Amino acid sequence: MAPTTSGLPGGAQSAPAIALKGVSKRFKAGSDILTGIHLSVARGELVALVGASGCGKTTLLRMAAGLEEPSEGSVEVLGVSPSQACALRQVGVAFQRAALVPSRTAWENVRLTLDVTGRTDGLDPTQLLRDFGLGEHLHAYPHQLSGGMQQRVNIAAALVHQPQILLLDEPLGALDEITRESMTEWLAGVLARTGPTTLLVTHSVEEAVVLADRVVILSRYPGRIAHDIPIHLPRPRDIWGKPSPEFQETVRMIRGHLHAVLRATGL
Amino acid sequence: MSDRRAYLLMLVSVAVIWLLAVRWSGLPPLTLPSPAKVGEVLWDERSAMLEGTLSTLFTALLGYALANVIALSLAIGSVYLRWLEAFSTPWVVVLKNIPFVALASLLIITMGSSLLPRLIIVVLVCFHPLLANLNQGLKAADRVLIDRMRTLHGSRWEIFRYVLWPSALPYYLAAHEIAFTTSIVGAIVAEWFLSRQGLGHILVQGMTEYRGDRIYAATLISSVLSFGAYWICRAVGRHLTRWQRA
Repeated sequence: MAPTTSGLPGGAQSAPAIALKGVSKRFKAGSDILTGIHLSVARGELVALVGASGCGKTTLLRMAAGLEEPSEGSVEVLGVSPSQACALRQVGVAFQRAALVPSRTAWENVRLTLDVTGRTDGLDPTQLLRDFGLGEHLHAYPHQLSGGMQQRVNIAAALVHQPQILLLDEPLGALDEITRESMTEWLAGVLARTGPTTLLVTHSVEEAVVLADRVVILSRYPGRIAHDIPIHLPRPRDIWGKPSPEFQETVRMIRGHLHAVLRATGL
Repeated sequence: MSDRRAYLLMLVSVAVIWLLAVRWSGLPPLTLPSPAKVGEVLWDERSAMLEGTLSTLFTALLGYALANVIALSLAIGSVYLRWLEAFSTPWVVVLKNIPFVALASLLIITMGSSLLPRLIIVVLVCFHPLLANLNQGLKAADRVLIDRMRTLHGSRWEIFRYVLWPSALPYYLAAHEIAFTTSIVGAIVAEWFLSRQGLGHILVQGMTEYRGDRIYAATLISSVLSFGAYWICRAVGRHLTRWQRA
């Protein structure tokens, strides 16, 4: 896929795709959700944010999406502000709860992204949904689909306009364990093919290690970056059948960090 | 189908009870005319009845249209102008809680028997369910979907069209089932108070002239109108929300 960079200011090509500099966020005076966040995501990189509830990882993602403003510091996406990046139609977002219009079919919901963004160089919704294993369900309404299917439609709707930036907020978090495992593998394949710069928020360490190039662990009260761990495991990381010792070791190490962070901030 | 059978059974039962009452209750035909007598009145006075019906329907439909314009403007306006909701809520609540019969009396002595006071009464009795449901439906809009639209840089119009309005529509349709029928009742009551025309006027005349047959005839017509209004709203509503039953 040829990334569309028209309309981006000069020099944006060399900048990181997502850059947070000295970012803090507080909703009420005195209680910081996030503090002193420096995070930079290179083009095409997939960074997973993990951390206990209340660490501000969703808030961080919402700032990258332009849905929240930082209290201090700056957030840049593709060298411009997040809302400008949205205006360039270069951002796709999928949340934990599928953002689908209930009165529109799966196909219409994916198509909606193209209508709203006005992108004519997007993917074909029919083909995309077929690729996502939903060829039989193009004309089903969201309530007729299972949770896993709804989430695939949701991710299709976030990818169909071929954004350079993909923001995923626990996209598999509401699914049962078995669906979640098979969807993780499926998502790894999708992201490997489409290859946008991706920021993924997740509770699941396995999911983070399967998908990510880097795993960033947040501490909490307030949220800070505690660890930033590159994942060098070979792909595809088929783990549900026979996880490699290296994979298991990486998961164990990240779990250890998470527990240490949790102990430091109290349960 | 069993739904239809239940309605049919109800109609037959009413006819049977009516006939039995005429035969055995001992009430004079003046207060309890036979179905045949009522049918006769409906036919003999068909032009007066039709005129009355059209007059009532005109008042009800015009008032209902006005009520919809006001409710839609207030509800949609409040989404974008915070002060509008804050400003209008006390008015809406107070108006809703003044018994409209009291207002009707006031309207007669100030405005007489023109169309305007009748329209005001119809609007007052039916705009509240429309407004309340529209407000509720707009507020029930999916926040996640709105966030998705914002990250796609959707305009206000697109957010309204794709998220807010589809969310409000089922609530709005449900309100029609109540309010459309109420508008017909409102029109009849308004005529009852302050008009020389319409089904309401026929009812008042029937009372003062001891014409039970005319009262029954007007009652039948207004019930059919009211049921028709309900049925149309329900059919249109079910059509527009047919995806829910897919």
